[in-house]
Amino acid sequence: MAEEVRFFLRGLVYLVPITVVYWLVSKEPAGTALLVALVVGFVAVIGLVLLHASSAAAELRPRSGGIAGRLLGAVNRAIGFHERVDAPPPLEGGPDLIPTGSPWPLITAASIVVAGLGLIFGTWLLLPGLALLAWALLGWLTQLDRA
Amino acid sequence: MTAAQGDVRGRGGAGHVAREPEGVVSWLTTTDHKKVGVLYMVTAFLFFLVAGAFSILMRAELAAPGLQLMDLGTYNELFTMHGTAMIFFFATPMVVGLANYFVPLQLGAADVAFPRLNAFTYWLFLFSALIVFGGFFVAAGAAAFGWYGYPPLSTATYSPGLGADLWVMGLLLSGVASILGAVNLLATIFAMRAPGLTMFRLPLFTWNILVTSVLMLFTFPVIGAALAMLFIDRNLGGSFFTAEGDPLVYQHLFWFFGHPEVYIIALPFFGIVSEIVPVFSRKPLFGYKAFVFATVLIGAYSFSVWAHHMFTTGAIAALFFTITSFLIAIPTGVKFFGWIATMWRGRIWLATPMLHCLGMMGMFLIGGITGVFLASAPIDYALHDTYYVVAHMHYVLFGTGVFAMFAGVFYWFPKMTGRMLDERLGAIQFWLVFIGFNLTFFPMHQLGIDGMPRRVGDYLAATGWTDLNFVSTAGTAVIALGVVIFLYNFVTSLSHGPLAGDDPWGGHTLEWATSSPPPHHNFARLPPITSDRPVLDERLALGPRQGGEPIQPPASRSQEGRRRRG
Amino acid sequence: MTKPRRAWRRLPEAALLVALTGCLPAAVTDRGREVAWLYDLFFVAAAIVFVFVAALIGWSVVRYRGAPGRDVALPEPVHGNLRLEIMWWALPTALVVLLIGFTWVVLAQVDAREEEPSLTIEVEGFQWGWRFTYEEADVVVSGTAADPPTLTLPTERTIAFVITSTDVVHSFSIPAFLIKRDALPTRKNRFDVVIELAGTYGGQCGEFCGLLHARQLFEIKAVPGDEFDTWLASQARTEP
Ligand code: HEM
Ligand SMILES: [Cu+2]
Ligand SMILES: [Cu+2]
Repeated sequence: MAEEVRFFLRGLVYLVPITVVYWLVSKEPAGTALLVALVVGFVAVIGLVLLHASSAAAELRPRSGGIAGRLLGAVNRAIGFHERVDAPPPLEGGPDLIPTGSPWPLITAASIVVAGLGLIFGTWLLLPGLALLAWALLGWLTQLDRA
Repeated sequence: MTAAQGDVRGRGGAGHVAREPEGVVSWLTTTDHKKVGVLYMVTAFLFFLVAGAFSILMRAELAAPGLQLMDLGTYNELFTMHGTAMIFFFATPMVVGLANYFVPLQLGAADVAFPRLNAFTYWLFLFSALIVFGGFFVAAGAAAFGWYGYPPLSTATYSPGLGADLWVMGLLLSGVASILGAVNLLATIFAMRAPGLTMFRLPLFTWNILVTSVLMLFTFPVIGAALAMLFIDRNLGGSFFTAEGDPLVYQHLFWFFGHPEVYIIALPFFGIVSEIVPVFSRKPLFGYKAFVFATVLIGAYSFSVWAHHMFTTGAIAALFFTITSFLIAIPTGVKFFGWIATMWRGRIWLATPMLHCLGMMGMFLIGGITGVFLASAPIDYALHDTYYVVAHMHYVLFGTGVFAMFAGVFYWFPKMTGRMLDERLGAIQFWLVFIGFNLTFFPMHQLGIDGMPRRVGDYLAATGWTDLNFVSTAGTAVIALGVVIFLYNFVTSLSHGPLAGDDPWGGHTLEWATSSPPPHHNFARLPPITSDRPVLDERLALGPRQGGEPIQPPASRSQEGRRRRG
Repeated sequence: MTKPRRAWRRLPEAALLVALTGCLPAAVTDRGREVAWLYDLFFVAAAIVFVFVAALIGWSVVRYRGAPGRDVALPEPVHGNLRLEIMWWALPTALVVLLIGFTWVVLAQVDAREEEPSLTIEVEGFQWGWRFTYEEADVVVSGTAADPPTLTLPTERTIAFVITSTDVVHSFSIPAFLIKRDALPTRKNRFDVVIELAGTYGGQCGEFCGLLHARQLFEIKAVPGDEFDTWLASQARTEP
């Protein structure tokens, strides 16, 4: 499971320094803000994955050894290219039951489009769109338990 | 469900009974990733035809100086909608469609992680595309400010028409669809892999889709924000991007999305090539981890190059973006070497999928090289917004989005339908499109060097651009002919193509371990997975001479009639 | 090995050789000279890379082409080779570093600004035309799509263009000078140039700006310094 986390950590190895460099050479706020947001996004995804798979956190945690050894080990475990082939199956989940068809995705999409057009054409279209959307979401959610 | 567990007879459970309703309703309510994938692909291809028709009209107008077919306003609408549709409604959804169909199969999974969300993103994409095209049916016409819609031109002052609002809203909603689609694919790849299928055993196509999904997840919100602000400026009295605000911020936001978008389109098609080249060289992929690493690097780098589209604004750190843009050439070069090393000492079978892969490599090679020119700020000062850029971008986008797409279509059509496309027609189509493409776009390099700007519906005869433009237009007709042949091949092969069997090419990855087309639950049994090529491993383990079903060349329809499955 | 019917593999190389003749137009400004030189350097590098890679692809297809169809006895499966892999990370890296170095130098030259340019032209783009102001002399030349303006300039003097827009984004572009700069409504852009060759050069808006973008033309007439001085003086007198 840790390889999924390493994937994003490796991304950060490039993105964090480049964000700093970009700010230093350009002092340009819009792009810097976007890069910072990107870094935060990566961190958030890492957090999400760790939250779902505590085994990943355990795999990445520093182990014994001298300071330098632990540091190197930690870096290697964080971004190195190795993977336990006997790893337990990835994140628990996925449908073991395949849902049958459902009309709600289509209806929900249609209602969002009506509401979106309502933003252009006016409330006479926006309100029906929102009502339709509420109905569609209700239908979708109540169908879930019959999946 | 009982069928999935019970039926272990054939490789794909031929005895399985579909339980979804048939007919139109089954398509409207489907949540099967394969059906949703087909919907995506067919719809995207239809939009390719529409946007292609626009480009034929544009090329016809440009064949000679003066205005022959349309006025400038119509031309402006056409190139705007051509670019918008090709990027947002053809290439991106084609990627999502292919991923929908083949990622779960390559993972050995029964479906995507969120099947209903999946269906929802398809419908949202379809409706938002229709909204954008709706611009052609309103009085003021469709949006006419280029596919990146720079303000202030795209604000209400300079583009007051309803078509522009529809463009903004449609793209906003299709962006939402893309984000949700990316979440779904990420969750699928992370959570639904078959036992034994570790990350470093994922097929290359799936790896590329993984990186693509990350790019989509983090860049579509950015263009969403830009479009939302533009919408507020246009309709609710905002002034983010008007002359009181800062139009340049829009350019930053747009290209922070726009450049990764190029890789959202390119990477999956690299992935397809990386799948097909080993199969048709009859060798495992050379340097699997190098490929993965290069893919991840391209993804990471692509976040830091956006303003190479803004060199001429004179308001960005030109050297920074020159350097970061150059960096992308390195992992891209590595991919080329990996493909070549895979072919080296192989036994290359030049069937249509491989032919299209070679076409992609040639065209992307040229597009990549011209990209290096444009990444160099001083050279870009000269060539920016000329036809050189149009040439570059089509060598990249057409090379990947069309050549590699056709490679994937010819490769996977048997998996999706159980029948082969005609090889001979496929080869003819390839050569027509290949020649037509180069006739159309190679001269544009020279036109750009001579200073012809892009996005002009007319030019003066005195410029001397007429001859090359004429050649270019003639080439477009040849492309169109090739596409027509494909359509004929596609339609007739659906019902009359030779039967393909489960694995006509001798595939390496899991999708070839099930029947063609796969049953509703995809797999009756999975081979043991101990590498990135389980199907090949199993075939090798069975011994060279009894490798499962014999692999036979798909016959041309003319040569041989229907062949029965063994 | 190269059977004649495989000659198509050579096509792209031939095409690139054709393109070799299509270098950038001969430079007419000091900065243009640098850009043209850089372009040529890139072109040589590109040609080498293209021929090298295309030849590798072509060779492997021709040499290792196998029969279609059943082929379960696979060739020796090879999955990697460390030395090779290091080489093909190193090769593009070396090339890229080289090209970055040259770009760095030329970029500094092209972007260089004169402290005291002998002539400053304010360029204003608008839908759809151009207004040029000779700042020191207070002379204005302007024109629209229907009647494009002509900008008269001296050779062998440093000219600074200060570029802006009164409405949407345009781009002040002179293909023969190998340069363009955007005209943005919210800021002033600038580039400097010394014209080295007298002549008439076409110019055109380089950033899409709406309906008549295709017609937003202008012309630059570069004349020797003394001729320019006389012209400017005559303009100043007739201007109220
Ligand atoms: C089918 C053959 C195609 C032809 C003949 C064609 C032709 C053209 C031409 C002539 C232009 C320049 C219009 C102008 O600047 O005035 C253009 C622009 C463009 N094309 Fe294509 N194209 C084709 C396929 C594609 C494909 C497959 C893609 C993407 C996947 C694509 C994406 C674009 C984009 C993004 C633009 C820029 C539009 C803009 O300036 O806003 N095209 N195309
Ligand atoms: Cu880019
Ligand atoms: Cu313009």
